[in-house]
Amino acid sequence: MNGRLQILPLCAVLGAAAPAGWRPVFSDATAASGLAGFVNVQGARTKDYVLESVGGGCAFLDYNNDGRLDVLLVRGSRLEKIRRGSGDPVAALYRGDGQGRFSDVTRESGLVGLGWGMGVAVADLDSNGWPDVFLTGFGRNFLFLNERGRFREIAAEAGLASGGFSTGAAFFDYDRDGRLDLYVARYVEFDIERPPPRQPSCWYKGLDVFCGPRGFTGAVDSLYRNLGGGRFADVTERAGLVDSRWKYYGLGVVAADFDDDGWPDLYVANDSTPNYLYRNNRDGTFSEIAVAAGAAYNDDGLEQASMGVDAGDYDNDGRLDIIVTNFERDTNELYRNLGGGQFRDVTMASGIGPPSFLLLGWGAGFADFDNDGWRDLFVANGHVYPEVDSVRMGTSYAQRHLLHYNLGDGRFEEAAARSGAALQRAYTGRGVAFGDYDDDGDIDILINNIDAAPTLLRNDGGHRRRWIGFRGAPVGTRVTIEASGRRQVAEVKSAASYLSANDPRLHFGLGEAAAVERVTIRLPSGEVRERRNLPAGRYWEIP
Amino acid sequence: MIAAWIAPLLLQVSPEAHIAAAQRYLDAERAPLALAEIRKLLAVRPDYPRAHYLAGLAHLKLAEFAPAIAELSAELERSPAFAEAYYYRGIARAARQELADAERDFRRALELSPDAAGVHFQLGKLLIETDRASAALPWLERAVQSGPGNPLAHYQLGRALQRLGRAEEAERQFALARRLQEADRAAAAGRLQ
Repeated sequence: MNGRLQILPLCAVLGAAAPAGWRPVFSDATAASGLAGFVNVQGARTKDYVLESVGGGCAFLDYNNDGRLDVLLVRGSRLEKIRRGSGDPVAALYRGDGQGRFSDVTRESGLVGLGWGMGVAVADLDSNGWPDVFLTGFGRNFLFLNERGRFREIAAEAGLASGGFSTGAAFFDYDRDGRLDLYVARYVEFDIERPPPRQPSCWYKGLDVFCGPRGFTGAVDSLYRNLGGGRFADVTERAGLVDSRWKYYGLGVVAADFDDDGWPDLYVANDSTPNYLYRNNRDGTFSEIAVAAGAAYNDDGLEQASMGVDAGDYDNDGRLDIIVTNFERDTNELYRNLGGGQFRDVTMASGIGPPSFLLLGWGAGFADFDNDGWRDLFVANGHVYPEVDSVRMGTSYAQRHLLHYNLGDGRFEEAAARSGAALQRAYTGRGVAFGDYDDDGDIDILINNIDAAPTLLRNDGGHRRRWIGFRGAPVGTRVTIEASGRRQVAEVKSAASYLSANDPRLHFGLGEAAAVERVTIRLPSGEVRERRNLPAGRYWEIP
Repeated sequence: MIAAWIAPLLLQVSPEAHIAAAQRYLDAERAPLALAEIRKLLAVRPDYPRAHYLAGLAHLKLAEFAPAIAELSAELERSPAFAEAYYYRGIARAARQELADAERDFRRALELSPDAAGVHFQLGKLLIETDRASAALPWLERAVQSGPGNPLAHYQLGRALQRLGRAEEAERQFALARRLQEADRAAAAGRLQ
């Protein structure tokens, strides 16, 4: 807690426990935040090309190390500007004051670049203690090195500028040499000089819509090894990554240690093609095991149009599970990690399937919004075809979001409609970042909407239950806490959700537990440290 | 209840025209319109053959599983030998995790239509889910025989074999499933959709 005076309900002041079944509400804090002036332009609103439909991401980060979360919002552009060799500013950076207000510091921070922005990953690449920013885009990518709160763009020198149609990205130290490497997913080969016009073969449920991705040649994902000194080398082939062969339509990426062997693995959500699960072979190579692991398709064996992805332990069994968001008339998929390299699709058994069926999902994440010690799920939605509003087919272009509360028995209850007026409205959501921007101990939500202002959803009252947080751990750190007989695990990730990056701090709800008995911190190097008896209610510095 | 005198006014088109329109809407993925069409018919002819069945399918397409089950059950009360109604009610029940009831529906559908590959597939999948992979195997083998070009059948057969510890055979089925999907994709390459 930061000690500032806040408006709190009486029971919180008196320290009274939240009643069983109690849940917070989410308020739309966008207007008061100073973020409402940003618009995520992604081409024409008529959406004539697939390029105009998929961006972009957002991030919570602390770029100036003042202990308060800042916000980064990625922006696209318009085809004619890219053809002219320019574009729009690819992102806007807002400095947070810790009290819910943000000021645009894009220019003064040096986080400036023109192009067509898509996604973001955040990590301290050069270990100088300041978070660096990688932005994916159409045409080119950007690497902004953070030098004490001022950014310097070095993608070309680093060997990372090559864009194509880059989408998701994630930093992770796959070879455990102490340097963060980078995976970049790519979508399709898209020729901006000759973009494919609408044609009779491009239709959806009887509606004429933009073409793609089916029929396009997929663009190849890349793995870049960090050589140190600000240089990266493309090791995609050498590392055994299969996308140069399959050329699937890559979007969301998350790096996490799914088999808990201390070596980070990788999951890639692919649109209209099977998803990838790359198991780290601990020798600089990967094996793609998604089909045999039961995490490539839905339960029927159908490839899905996957967008976002996150890894988190929803059932508190110590293994990281996977949520993947998908197209409309399909469910989002929840894959329960069974251990032994096997996942079970529990989409229907968990209850998250039916509410997602008529919605088109993008950013998503596991987070404990009510601090009861069980990670919940949030999914942002929005269709890609504006034309769906012209007919009665059971869906719409702007869509409401999904908030699935974890019941603690393997099932979730969707409760967005009962969680405040802001969650009863419809949005054109894309990237989502999760973080505690007002430092009150509960997880808030930032959504980058396409062709619209972002939405900042403030969690009001999640902190009525106890919580603990950890800051300062490098990407890839795995933290396990034990409190009141319950064990929870989480990892620090550079990117997740959909083309987005979360609050770098790790947050755990504790229910009524006043302290954590034991914290086990496994660093990316494999070194394990332990802390004991940490009181709840604050962010602790680790390692 | 609708007054008897108003019924003829509501039924300005023939029942079969309502059925045909609802079917067309379903084929075109316009489930709300199909439902509206079928409700007009049900308001005046609640026993008309296939009306509850189509209403059930429309609810199913909207992921409204409870009303889908209710409508399909209503159809089955009127047409107890309707294999497709059992099949779709089984799918709706499986989606609601009413797995024992779903299994009963699939088996009844098979009694009525023993060669229905879709039922072989669904029953096999349900048996895997309920940890009876050896029981699933013959149904999925039949699904593969009926549709050797169907990647889904090969994938489910692979899952059953994997659960039975027959890893190499499972891997072969998974590879076959992927090859079939890739062949579809290669055939569609360059044809924008």
